[in-house]
Parts: sequence; structure tokens; C-alpha cells
Amino acid sequence: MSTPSHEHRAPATSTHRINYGSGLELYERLGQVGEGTYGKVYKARNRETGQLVALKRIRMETERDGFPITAMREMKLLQSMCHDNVVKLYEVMILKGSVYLVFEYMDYDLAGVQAHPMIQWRDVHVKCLLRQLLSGLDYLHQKGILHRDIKGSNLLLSRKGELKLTDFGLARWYRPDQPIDYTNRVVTLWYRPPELLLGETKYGPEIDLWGAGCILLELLTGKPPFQGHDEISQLEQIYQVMGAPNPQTWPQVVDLPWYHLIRPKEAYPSIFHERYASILSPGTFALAEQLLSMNPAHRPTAQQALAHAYFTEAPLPCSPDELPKMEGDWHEFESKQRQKKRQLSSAASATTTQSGQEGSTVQKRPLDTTMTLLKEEPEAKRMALSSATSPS
Amino acid sequence: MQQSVRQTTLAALPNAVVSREQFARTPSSRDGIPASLQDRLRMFGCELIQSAGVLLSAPQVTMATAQVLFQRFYFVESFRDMDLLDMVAGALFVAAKVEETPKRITDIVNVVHFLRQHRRHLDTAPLDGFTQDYYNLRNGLLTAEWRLLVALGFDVHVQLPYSLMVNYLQAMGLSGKKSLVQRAWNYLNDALRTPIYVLHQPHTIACAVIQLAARHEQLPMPEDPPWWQVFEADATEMQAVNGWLGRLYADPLTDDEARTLPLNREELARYLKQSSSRH
Repeated sequence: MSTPSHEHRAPATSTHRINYGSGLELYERLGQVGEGTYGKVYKARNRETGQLVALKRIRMETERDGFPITAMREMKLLQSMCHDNVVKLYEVMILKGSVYLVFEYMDYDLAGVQAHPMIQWRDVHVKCLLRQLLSGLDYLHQKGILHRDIKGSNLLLSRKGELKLTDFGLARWYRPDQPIDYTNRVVTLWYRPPELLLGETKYGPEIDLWGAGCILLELLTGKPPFQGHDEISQLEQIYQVMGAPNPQTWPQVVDLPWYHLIRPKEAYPSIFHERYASILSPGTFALAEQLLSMNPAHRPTAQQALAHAYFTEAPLPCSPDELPKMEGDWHEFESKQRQKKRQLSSAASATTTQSGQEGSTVQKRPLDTTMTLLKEEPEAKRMALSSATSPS
Repeated sequence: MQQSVRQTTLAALPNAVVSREQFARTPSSRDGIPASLQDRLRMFGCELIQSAGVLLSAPQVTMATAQVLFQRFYFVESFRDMDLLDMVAGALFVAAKVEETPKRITDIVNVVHFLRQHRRHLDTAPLDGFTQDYYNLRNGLLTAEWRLLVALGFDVHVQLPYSLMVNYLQAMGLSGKKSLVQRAWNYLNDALRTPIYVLHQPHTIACAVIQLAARHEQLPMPEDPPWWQVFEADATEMQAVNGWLGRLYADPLTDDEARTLPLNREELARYLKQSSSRH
């Protein structure tokens, strides 16, 4: 049962209704803009109103168990939320036996914008984006919802500069007073906090805050701070920067299931300060350091993070409509397509063309273990590592 | 079906409730099913859901959600278009998923089969998974799930009044009165068998059962100004809720009646034919 607050009733929306076969005529499909664990996401236009929407098709393969519980969970979560920083579900549509979720259309996602060659976030922009991200997370956590897949491609951005959380396919309800066992195999690898990598199954909102910390650094430096290619190397990456977990500052770490199995090979000191203190403003650095606390108990809540001096000291966050604007649609999906095209054309121009390799080569992005920070890489400022993006 | 129960959702959203028009002219009424029979079928279906839930050791919240979904469904669709027994299974199946207490199809099918046989004093041996009977029930459940989701526009959110009711009693310093709390709680459970949950919002229902329980416990409540105003409840609506409860207790389903109530379309057609020839 959710919170007893009929006082906070929102006006009933008349848009929430169901479409039957007419969906085909009602929406004109404009193209694909995403590919989730779930199925494809399309951009479409409502022929009657001209409104742009995103259509997300629900895969119905597991018909053995009827309607997928994951889809039911996502619908219920979406229907129970109403916040400026959470994507809006307009309606559910049935078309030829498939179920589509009809969302408001957002022109960009953060992963896509990161791949934009001309966009360079400034401090005021990052503050504006992070504040919106934290507001969304605060709303979720207050309602008792964990997102569990914070990453750039799940943070949508509208032309007006509004940032909205999307993809609640992995989200779950939680109750602080009744911690239950969850799976630790959630959150896309690069944004997964150390406690999950060490096998924690009782966790709460802190896991989303780690992701917010990763996003903060990613916005400022152009790439995700920790980029492992499997769980072990992901931990290594984190240890190399943040230092190996210290039982003095994180006593519970020794009880984590895999702590003794995956002992750090060497004593890692934290180089977080020397790597980031010089390139970030003091406020940014302080907040990033808190969000990326190894001990989850030391991470601020979304609410505490919002109250951080970072947001009130100069330069103040810009307003959403002051964020840089760009032409066209910029989602992770399209930037992958662009990369694919580039790779195909370069492969074609190469003298030794390896046929049949395209499919796998586009997925891979060489991991640079040396982590050259802020080095200009205009060609591939940041490409998503899609082999790591499907949480199992 | 387009203009139906849905029309709600979002935020700490209110429940989907039916309009006066929807209540007066249900799809079943249009199919010639008398209102009195509809009430009995709702009552019986919900009773079966509750019993099945107990046998499946589902939590009360799952059983309550299933009953509300079941009630909502038959304001959007007719008993003649969807077999009652299948919807009992389907509503339970959906509610179990919604409330994160998923149940296996086989278990639900077996329990529903057992209850049907039991209520009709027939053989209650579990079904063999390869029989036509089992296959039909399983198919019926899956069909019912889909029909339910479509009919309700996938709005499976059900806000229950249980925690509200407890909060209200707490706010009035009455949560220590065990028999009062228990009585009000029981009313909430029993009320699931009536259309109350699709006619009124949770805060109204919570206040109504508190009022009724207090009256039975002969517990004086502040009337000037009336205590329920704090909780934004309306006295007329509360009266309507308690009217339903009164009728429920005055005329419960007897074993004999339950034995003869039609559980699917064929039985319903026969039942209607017989009762019209009786008159």
C-alpha cells in the first residue's frame, strides 16, 4: 500500500486512455529513437493534434506467464508518478496485439548529447542538469521507488532544457523500514556502485546517488569516470581512483558477499583528489566526492545533495531554457547509428575489409585504462559501450 | 468501452471510480441481467477471490486489489461476455503481479477449480495438468488477464483504504481500541464484496467504516464539528457506503444460493431462462 495522502491528489488527466486498432492511423511513425532491453522505441506524431510522442513497444514473448510482470510494474510505477523530472506516460495503446506505452517526446538524452561534437557543458549548465536529476531522484525516493538504472541514455532532455528520468523497467518499490533482498545485478556496469559489485542485496536509494555522481563527472569531463568491461575490472577502475575500500571508513564492507573473493590486488590509495581537484571547482569537487563515497551510508540523500552549497554558490545554475540548444534529435541510439555509419564507411575505404564484422565492431569501444582526462577527442568524445549497457 | 472506468491516474492518484451513468447502466444490464443478480455475482466472485487468496497464502492487500479489479471490470464489461470464474482467476493473477506477490498459473487454476467444486459439492480432486478441464481454466485465466488489462486501460493502480483508516484512528487517538480497529478492518474486508470501492474514494470508505464501527462499539465521536470533515469525507457518501454494508450483512450469500449461481456464459444463459420462466 502506498502513502496515505489523498490530500495530494492530482487532477485526473483525460489523456490517460486506451487506444485500440485506431493507433495505426492516430500515430504516424517517424523513426526509431531507442532500443531497450524491452524492445524498440519510436518517435511518432499524433495525426490529430500534431503532438510528438515516443512509442515504446512491450515485448510479449514470455506469454507462458501471461502479461510480463516487468511491464506491469513499469506501467504501475509510471501511473503513480507525476513530476517535472519524470517522463510522462500519456496512454497505453494496443496495436495488432502488441502493447505500446505512449510517452511525451523528448528530443535528446544525455548520452546522445554527450556525443554531439559541438556541445560542451559549462558549470552553470551542469548545475542545472544535476539539480533536475536530483529533484527527480528525490521525488522517486520520497515515494519509495528505486530507479536502479541511472545512466546518460535514461536521462532525457527536451528542447526546453527539461531533464526527465525515463526507463523504469528495472525500478522497484522499496520501504526503508522493511529492507528486502533485491538482485545486485542491476544498474548498467559503468554506473554501478561498489557495494553492488561486491554482492550487496539489501540496498536503498544510495545506489542511485552513486549514478548521479558518475553523471556529474561525465558531464564535466566528457566521459564516464569508471569504465570497466566486466564486474571485476569495473571494481578495479573504481579502486584505482577512489582507493580500495577501507574497513575503517566502511566497516560493513567486510561482510559483503564477494569482498573476500575479490580482494584488491594491491593497496590502492585514492587519487580522486589529485585527479579532479584541479579541474573541478571546489564546490563541484566536494559534491562529487560525497556522491561517490565508497561507503553507501556516507552518500548524501538526493534531498541533502540538493541542499549542497554547490547549488547556491557562484556560478549559480542556469535556468533550463538557457541550456545550449541543438538541431535534430540526439539520443544514444542515433549517436550509435552515426558511429556505425562512420565505422562502416571507414571499413569500406580500408584495403582489407573484414566482412561480417560490422555488427560486433560497432559495439566495442577501446577501453583506455590510462584515463586521459579532458584530452580532446572530437571524433568520439563519448560513445556508449553498448556491450555493457544491458544489465542482466 | 472507450468511456469507461479509467479516466484517472497520476500522482498520489485517486482510484478509478464509475460515474452515476455507468453505475445505472452497466453492460450486464444492457444484456438483460437483473441488477440484483449482478450484485450477487459480484459478491460471489469476490468471495471466491478472497477464499482463493487465503488458500494461496497471498497477503490481504493482493486479495483486496484483485477484488477491486474484478469489481471495476464488470462495470466495463458484461457477465455475458466474460466468464465469472475465469475473471476470478484472472483478477487474482493480475493483482498478484501488481502487488509484487506473483503466483503460478497452475496454483491459481487448481485453487479456483477446488473452490468451484467445493461450493457445488463436487469432486475436489486436483486437476491433471493434461486434461481439457485444466487447459480450459488456464486459457480462461490468460484470456481474463488480457481482457481485464484492456478493459481498464492498463490502469491497475488500486489505492486501498486500510492504511488510511489506521492513520485516521491514530490521529484521533483511537488506535489503542483494539476491538474498534479490528471491527473497522473487518468492514473494509467485507466491503470488497460490494461495489463500494468503485463508487467511492478511499478516504470516504475509511471514514465510513470508522463511523460504523464506532457506532457498534458505542463509542461517542466528536460530532460538532463532525470529525470526518478533518479527513475531507462527505456525510452523504459515508451513508451510502454504510448502506451497502448494511445490505451485505442483511442478505448474505447462503451455501445453497452459491451452489446455483452461474459461473460462466452457458450457465448464465440457462439461469436467466429458468428464472424468466418462473415468473
